[in-house]
Amino acid sequence: MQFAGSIAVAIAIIAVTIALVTAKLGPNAEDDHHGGGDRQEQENR
Amino acid sequence: MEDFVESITRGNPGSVKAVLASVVLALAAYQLILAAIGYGKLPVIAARPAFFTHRASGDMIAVLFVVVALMCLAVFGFEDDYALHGWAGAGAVAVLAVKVFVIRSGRGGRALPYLGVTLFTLLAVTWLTVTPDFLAGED
Repeated sequence: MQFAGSIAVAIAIIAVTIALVTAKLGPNAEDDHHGGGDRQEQENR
Repeated sequence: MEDFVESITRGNPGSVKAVLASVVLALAAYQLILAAIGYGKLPVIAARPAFFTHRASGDMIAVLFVVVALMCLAVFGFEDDYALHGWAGAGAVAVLAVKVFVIRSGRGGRALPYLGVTLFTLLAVTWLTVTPDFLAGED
């Protein structure tokens, strides 16, 4: 049970981190070092 | 290599790097807690499951860290403006290599906590010298 719990916490940490950073990236994605990629391409269409 | 990284990140290597590096740092912080539990400093769960997860999570961190480092070198290379970032990252790779060697050799186990804390510090410096500014849109 403790094995599963400690692994579950690790998975939760990964999920929460991805969610938080992705949410933070949203408005700034077009500022990516190399020109913004997909989002900028989509905006230009 | 740069084209490959640009391709798999769909033109957003900085964003992908920020996400993966943040996952690495978050898991590294969890590693410290798991190690503290394993060494009996934080008796939340038994030592065995704590060390098992520490090892599994550590393997994942190592893979992600190498991927992020290769992406960073391939796309951005060494830039003078980010010298501390580069040196901290290189130091983290070196400490990680030593830590893996110590674990595999089965000798020098008493050094592992110090290597772990050093590795976490270097990972934190590597993350702090680029990612917060990038997330703030200042990169």
